[in-house]
Amino acid sequence: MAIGNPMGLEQTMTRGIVSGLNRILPGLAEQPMIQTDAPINPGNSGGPLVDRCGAVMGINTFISEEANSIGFALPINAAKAVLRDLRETGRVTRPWLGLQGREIDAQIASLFRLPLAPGYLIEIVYEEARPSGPACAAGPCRWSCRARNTSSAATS
Amino acid sequence: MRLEGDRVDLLAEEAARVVLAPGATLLDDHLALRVDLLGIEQQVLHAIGLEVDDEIDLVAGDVDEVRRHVLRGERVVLAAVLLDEPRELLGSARRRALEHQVLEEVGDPGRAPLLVAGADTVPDLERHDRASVVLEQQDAEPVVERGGDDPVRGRRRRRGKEHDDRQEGDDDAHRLIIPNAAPPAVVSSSVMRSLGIAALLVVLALPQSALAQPCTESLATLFERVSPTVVSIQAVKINKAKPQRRFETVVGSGVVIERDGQVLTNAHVVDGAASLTVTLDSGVKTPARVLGMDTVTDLALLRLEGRRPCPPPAWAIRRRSVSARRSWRSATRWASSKR
Repeated sequence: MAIGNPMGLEQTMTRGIVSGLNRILPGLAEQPMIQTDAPINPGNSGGPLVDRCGAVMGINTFISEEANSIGFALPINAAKAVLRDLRETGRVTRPWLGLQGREIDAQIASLFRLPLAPGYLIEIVYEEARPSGPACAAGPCRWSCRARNTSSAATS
Repeated sequence: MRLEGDRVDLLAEEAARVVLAPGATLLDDHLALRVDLLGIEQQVLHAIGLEVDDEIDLVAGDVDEVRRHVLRGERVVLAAVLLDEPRELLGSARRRALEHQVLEEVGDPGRAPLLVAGADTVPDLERHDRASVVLEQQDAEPVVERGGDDPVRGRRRRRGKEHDDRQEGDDDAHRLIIPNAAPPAVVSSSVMRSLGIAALLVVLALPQSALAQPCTESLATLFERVSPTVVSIQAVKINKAKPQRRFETVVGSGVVIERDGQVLTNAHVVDGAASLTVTLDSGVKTPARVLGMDTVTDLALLRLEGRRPCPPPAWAIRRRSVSARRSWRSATRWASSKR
């Protein structure tokens, strides 16, 4: 059950089934989401996804705009994990490297004619982020050497 | 003689006179009968058939024949017709046999005794049982918890573990708690063993309905239980790019998670909001403040400002005990005050 006020219609309950668990969505954090087909509309955001017993399972967060009835809810356990940080500091501190890339398998290696078959292709080194990424601060030389080794597509 | 014969006839007629609408006069006269008739609905069926016989249609009948006089204070024999008495006796005897053999209810299972032994006052320092040490942040919990009848313990438990995600049975007296984290680390393996045995025994002692039964309440009941914890959030954002539509209102939802008015919602609802208004289920509008925000998980924590009382948090309404009924009642009260 999803309860919220879609389009400003207060206290609307919709229902559906849990279509999938542990959905990793591209472009989002490495946070598995609950997929449901309970209709979720704009305005449902932040509302609870409750099970048949009334226990909160997740927080309705995303919908797929192209598809029908594909909604995603953040699992409540993941929410509880960040709640303490939110209460105490108001934000969540996460370690980060300042890199983005992908593993190189044989297909990618042949496509880009890369010398390294098992390797790591660094695609983006964050420079503009404030404060600048740790990878950027570590020194461009090392990373550019590495980048030259792996791919010409690497920036920086 | 003729005259006397007529008198005898008159007397006989009088003895067999017809009383119209006897119910009212009987009820006026006889307090015990009145109580009996009124209390028929409330009587619990007795196991050996001593219940008031409610099948006799006395009040509805308009015409009854008087067979004999009823003295004040005497119990009225309802089935005065001779043929009716053996029929009713036979019927009650049959019903009694059915009740004894088939319909008799099985008594309630007793409450499980407290089986977990207390911790040793002097711990054994030389023990080599490979048990890991419980650190404070590991949040060890007992596997089995007994509660429901002890208000002080219940309150302490609720206060201590309001955040954990637990699975509860329907029974008030027993509650099986499965920690969602790793298996609980305990100090000694013997304690672990006794806990495990106790868990097993308590599980066995639980009535079947308390274990893993899907919740069967209606969706309307579920909605009435859950909806007080859901609030609607109106965030007014200032859009600098569009001067003609400077103020833009974003509508979202949230769920109350704490009694002090903490509300969990999405970060994209409140991100960049100039002002926040939260509408409770009761229709009360209250301002809110952002306590924290995380755009990675798209979560934001708000606190309702201003007026009390705030709606019950989501974890409080899961309990289907007296308190749940109370919150359900308050939920209906809110719903009625909304109109």
